[in-house]
Amino acid sequence: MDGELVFWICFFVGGYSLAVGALLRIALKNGGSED
Amino acid sequence: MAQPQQEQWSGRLAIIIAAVSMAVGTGNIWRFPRVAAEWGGGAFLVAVTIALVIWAIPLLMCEFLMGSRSRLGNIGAFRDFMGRKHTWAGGFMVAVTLGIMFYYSVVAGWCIRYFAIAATGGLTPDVSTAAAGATTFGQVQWEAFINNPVETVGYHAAAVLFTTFVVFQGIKGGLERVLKVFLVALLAIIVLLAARAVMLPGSAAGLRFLFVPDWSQLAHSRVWLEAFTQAAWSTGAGWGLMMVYAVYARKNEEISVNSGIVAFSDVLVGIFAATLVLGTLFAVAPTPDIAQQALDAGHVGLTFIYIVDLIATMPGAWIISPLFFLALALAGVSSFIAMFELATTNLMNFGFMRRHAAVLVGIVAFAFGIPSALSIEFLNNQDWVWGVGLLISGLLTALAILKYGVNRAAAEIDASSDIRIGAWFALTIRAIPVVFLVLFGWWIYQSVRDNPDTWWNPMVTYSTGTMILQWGIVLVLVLALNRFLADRVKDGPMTIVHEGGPSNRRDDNGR
Repeated sequence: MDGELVFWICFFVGGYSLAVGALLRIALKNGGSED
Repeated sequence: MAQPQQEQWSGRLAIIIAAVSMAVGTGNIWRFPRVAAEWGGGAFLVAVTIALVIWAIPLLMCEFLMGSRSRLGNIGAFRDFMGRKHTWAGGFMVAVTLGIMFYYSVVAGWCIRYFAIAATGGLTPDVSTAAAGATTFGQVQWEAFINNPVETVGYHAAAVLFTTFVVFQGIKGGLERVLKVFLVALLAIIVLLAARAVMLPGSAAGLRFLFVPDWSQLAHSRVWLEAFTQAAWSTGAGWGLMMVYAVYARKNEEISVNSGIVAFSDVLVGIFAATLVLGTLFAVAPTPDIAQQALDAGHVGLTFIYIVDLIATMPGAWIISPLFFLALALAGVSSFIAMFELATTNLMNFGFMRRHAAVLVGIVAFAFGIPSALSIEFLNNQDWVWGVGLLISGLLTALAILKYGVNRAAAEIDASSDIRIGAWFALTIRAIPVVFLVLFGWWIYQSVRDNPDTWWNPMVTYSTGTMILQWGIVLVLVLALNRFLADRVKDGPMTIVHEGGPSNRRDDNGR
């Protein structure tokens, strides 16, 4: 697998994972527990 | 009179899991990889991200607001946000999603059937002999299945029966319990198979299609149209499903971050599914041309013919094949559960008990799904008509918020959100009618261009005529029933009852 491909995989998978992870972190910190 | 205690998700995580399960469907596995590979790979992913921000997330937020504030299904929510005269808009949204639900159970049934066959070793033939003839093993399997009404109707019935049972059990005892397990299993399988695909020799050719951007594609309007269509269909924005799940949210449940999680998770799962599909296809196909043919073969051709044939040639096919179809079945059934719940909640707003409503929806879903189970042409027609109809539902949602007051809606969302959405929400909601006109116009143009002689003919599967006829019938019906719907749907916390008259929406600002 060439370097360019690895970069773009990391960019998109990493970017989206970070976005979801960051939002989930906010969600769980602020009211993820039971009502 | 004391109102019965309304059902509720057990917490914020529960509604997020349910909403992500709703959004992640079969389209993530069989549509996203094909469209992403065809329209610029990484450049398409950039366009999808922009479409999420402009179309999907704002619409999901609108739906969340409407459901959680009105505490009513789509019909009641539209009445209380737009006014009695526009209750029909909620009826139209319900009809469009029902139109999809009636064939989606059939599709979910296909996935269950293929999982059952794969799990019992039925999809791992002696490939050297199976592929020797003009028709492949996958084609023979598919033809034998799709032309067997006992099987197609039987698996459709199985999907409906299972879902009826889940929805019958209620929000906490049914949906929450099942969707939690489904989503975790689905994510685990997709990530596992995607990792396996990346490690296959030759997968890089497929992954290049998916990830390496062809920036020149961004100059083509078609890429943007495909990206917005993907964002509209895949995330569930405009389907009314989020609106219904929000009915059972806790008081003052967060809106903006939850909507963002749903939209971004949906695309992330799509990326993993595309890694799995494209990586495997290009690693296993004897030539890149065959991999390309598989991508060009449509949802059914790719999933139920090419993938069946190609996975069968892989080492470990005995486990990869059932896992793949299990993922597809989990994705299909969890989205079907959301549509089923939409129908059930709306019926409950007309005075039905949940259990009665679920059984009634099950009977109707089974009966109205039979034509799609018996005829793939009919199913394709319904997919076409109600798939494009979703764009209208999305527009109606934005119009409801514009009528309610976009700044007022933004302020209410901000008041219960972890992050402030500011002017962006107001701007995108105002832009949605324009985006709708472009998208909708493109789909109509495409239909006319591809069927120059038959575009007007309502009997042709992919014609404009068939869409206009079926939407027209639904529109006339919901308009005729407007008063009935507005009067009979129960009151919610936003509804005020005028003395001697029917209910209407509350007018906090004196508007």
